[in-house]
Amino acid sequence: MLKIDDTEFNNRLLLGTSAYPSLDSLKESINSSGAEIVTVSLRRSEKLESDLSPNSFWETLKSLPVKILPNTAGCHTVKEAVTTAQMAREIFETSWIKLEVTGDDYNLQPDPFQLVEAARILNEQGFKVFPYMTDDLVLAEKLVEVGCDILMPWASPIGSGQGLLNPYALKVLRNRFKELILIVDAGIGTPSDAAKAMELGYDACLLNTAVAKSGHPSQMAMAFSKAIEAGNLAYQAGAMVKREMAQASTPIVGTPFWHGENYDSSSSKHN
Amino acid sequence: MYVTVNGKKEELDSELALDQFLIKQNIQATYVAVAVNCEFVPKSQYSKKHLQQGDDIEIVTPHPGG
Repeated sequence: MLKIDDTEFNNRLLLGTSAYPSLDSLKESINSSGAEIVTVSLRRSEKLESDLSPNSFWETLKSLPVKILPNTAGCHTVKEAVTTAQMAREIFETSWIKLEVTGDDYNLQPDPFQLVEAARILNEQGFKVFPYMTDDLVLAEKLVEVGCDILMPWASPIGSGQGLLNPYALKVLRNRFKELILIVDAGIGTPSDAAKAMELGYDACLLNTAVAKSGHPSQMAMAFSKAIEAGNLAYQAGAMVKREMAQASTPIVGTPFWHGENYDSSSSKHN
Repeated sequence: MYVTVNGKKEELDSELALDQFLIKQNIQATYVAVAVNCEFVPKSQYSKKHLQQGDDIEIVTPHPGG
């Protein structure tokens, strides 16, 4: 059970709502995955060309049993991010905010310095901040210092589908912040990437493009949901310790045709 | 006077409060939020917020996002 802000969630997949082939496809993907938290954005109120027009999009989402996590995507400064968060709080009637402050338009890497300052201001204003960040340990510490109890490090750049480029850094964050909610956000390409993140002990995965741009979004959404659940179960169970050498899993004693007197484990007949 | 609305320059006949301006723009305030000069304006303040020459107005609505 994932518990955020006194609300419990059964599903550990946070699903983005962008870039689906159609509104129906988005709806089916949310349903098939069982995602309980979905991300949204705010954009200028001009009519979109696709069927994802603002009203039908929002009306559809409101009809689903999901918790809304608005983002500040596209913001490049503290001021823009804080103002967008304030507008999101009014429209979506939630204090949750996925805080994004882009620092570089080439790989959409978050700006760590402005991210911390925006997080500080928003935490002071009572927001529940979900900061989208790189996997830097010191940045994580600074975000915690300004009041964040959720961290969302990237696996790789947004929409790249490259998977976990630095599992070591993600592992360090998990070991360093055992009590915080850690969510891998961005860069996940396949369900096995998500399972890997969960096996590292992450609490959830947030993804969008890997589902929306797949050949069959609703089926892929379900695949991600199952992979995330599997990874979480595996982490809770505790993986075996790796060995350098083989060790027979089937007992030696009682092997048919085996003659114990000929068996010498230290000098086998293969030597 | 001129103001900028979602990045486009527009001429206003007279000084308007934000709520009047939205009505004139045919924008229902239900699912929009507004910032003027990058400052959030809560709905409760629309009637008190008078637009000035050169104001930069952003009007946003829910959209898909990741």
